[in-house]
Amino acid sequence: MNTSAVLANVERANQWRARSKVRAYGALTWAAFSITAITFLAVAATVISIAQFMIQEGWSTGPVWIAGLVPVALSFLVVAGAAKAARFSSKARSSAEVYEARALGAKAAEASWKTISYSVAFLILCALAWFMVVNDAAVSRTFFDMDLIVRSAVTVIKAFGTNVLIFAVSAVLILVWALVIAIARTLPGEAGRPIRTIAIIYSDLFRGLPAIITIYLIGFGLPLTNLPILKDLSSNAYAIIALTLTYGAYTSEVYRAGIESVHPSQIAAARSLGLSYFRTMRYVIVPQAVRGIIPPLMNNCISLQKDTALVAIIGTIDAFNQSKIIASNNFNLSAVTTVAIIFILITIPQARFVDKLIERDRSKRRSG
Amino acid sequence: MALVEIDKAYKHYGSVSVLNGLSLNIEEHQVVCLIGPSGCGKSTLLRCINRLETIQKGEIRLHGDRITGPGVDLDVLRREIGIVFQGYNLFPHMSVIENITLGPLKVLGMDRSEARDKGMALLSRIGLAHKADEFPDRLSGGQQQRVAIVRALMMDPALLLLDEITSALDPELVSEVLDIVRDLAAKGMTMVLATHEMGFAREVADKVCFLQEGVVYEEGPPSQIFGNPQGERTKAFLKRIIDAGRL
Repeated sequence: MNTSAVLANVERANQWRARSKVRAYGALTWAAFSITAITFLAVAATVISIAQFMIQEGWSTGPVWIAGLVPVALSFLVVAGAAKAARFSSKARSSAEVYEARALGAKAAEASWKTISYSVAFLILCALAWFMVVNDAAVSRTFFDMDLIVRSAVTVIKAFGTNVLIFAVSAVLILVWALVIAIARTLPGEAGRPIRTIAIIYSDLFRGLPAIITIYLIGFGLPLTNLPILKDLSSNAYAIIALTLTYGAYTSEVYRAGIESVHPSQIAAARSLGLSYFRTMRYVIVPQAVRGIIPPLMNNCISLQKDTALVAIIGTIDAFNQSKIIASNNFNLSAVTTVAIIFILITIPQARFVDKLIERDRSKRRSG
Repeated sequence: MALVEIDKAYKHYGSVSVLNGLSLNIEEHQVVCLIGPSGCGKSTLLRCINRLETIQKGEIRLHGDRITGPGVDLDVLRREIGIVFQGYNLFPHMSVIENITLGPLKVLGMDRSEARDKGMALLSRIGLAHKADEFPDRLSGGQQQRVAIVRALMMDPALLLLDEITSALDPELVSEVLDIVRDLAAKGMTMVLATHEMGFAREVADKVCFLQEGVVYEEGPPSQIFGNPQGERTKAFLKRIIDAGRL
């Protein structure tokens, strides 16, 4: 290398050192400290005002204040975290050793962002707490009358059996029915066209129709038709028919997406062995299609469970209808809250499970 | 009478013509290698022979019987003509033994134990008997392609089509697949290979066809095509191959 090139390299290195300074994140740590301090004050004010309200309502003083101390202490910990971040930052500024200073600066930034995010969460919780107690705790009284929730629980859970029944029967019917529709929609060639068209019209129609209207039309319409058998079914059966028709349309789309996601080379390979179209579907395509669509199928399944509550509109005594009766007798919606809690308890674990499945699927695809 | 006679076959996709009146005879126990630049119609020709694709004009005959045109039972035709693909196309949800016995069980109606015995015998021949219950994604590319060949052989085809079967393989895995093809050639299997492995084509082929713009531009024994090509384009193609160090 000649001299001028060497000098240029030295120059370049000096430039880099000059540019690559230590960052101490002083402003960020100050902002974090201010936000956490404000949050601490907000939490304290909220706790004091709620505690006073509860004592006035007849709760005993000691436990209320002790319970109130918990959020205050927690938000104080966040303030302490922000203070620690500020200390890291000032150490970073005064440190003579570059690498150590960088590490401290990074720590200060990380800690600041963490405290800011905790503060925001605390503020949101404060807002919710205020919402519950304003106007003489109107919100809590209307929705969370513990006494009524407990009293209505047994009756509502019994009525929930109807929802479970409707769900279980229609889920099985839907899985079969939707596969039939999906296969009809993917029939090949000119000969398949009429069936394909009918299947498309069906799935467009029932995906376009709000489920509640389908249920209403079938639940009240079929008995009026005077058709043998169909006019004498129970309201549960009408609900099952309506939900199967509606969800069959959605689920057939899920199946179809699965079928179409199988690479055409798989069809070529199967047909090349002399397998007929239907055997190719049966042994090669559908088994692969089903694997990929378990998460979306589960999502539909969760959605179906929730929509069993729609059958209340045709007078089926399901959990929702039962709780509405209790609610009107007591002039308080807390019985409906019981239903809400049941649905949430049942669906959230499933939703988490689906997320797990999707995550597992994704990581498998990444590694493979 | 040749096993397969291709008589002035035309095939186009929209405005792109792929086969332009291609004619070719495949004799029994013959190994025919198709070579030529990308897009010259090698793969399409193979896929037309087992009717994965349909030619628009001309005629293809198997055992002297016309297999193009309407009314041919394709499922029966495909029992006679096996194909192995560039991308293996094994069924990923089935184990190796399930992959290779699917055809015999469902198409030939063979019973389960017989199909399994036959499958195991063929797997042992290619040294993969110990992988019988593994799933394809646990196998190397070379192993998967060997299984795919066995899957086609399980149907006892009269003709085996091999569509660039080593193109998707890492170089060190190519030979294990070619060994099987060599073995099949020695046993008298009739095969048509679309290939870029010129050295292999030279060694194993009875007849080499140089395809260019959808016709057989030049055909002959490997000694002629690789040693003393007649056509200008054949010469130019081979020069490019040699310059790339592939022959």
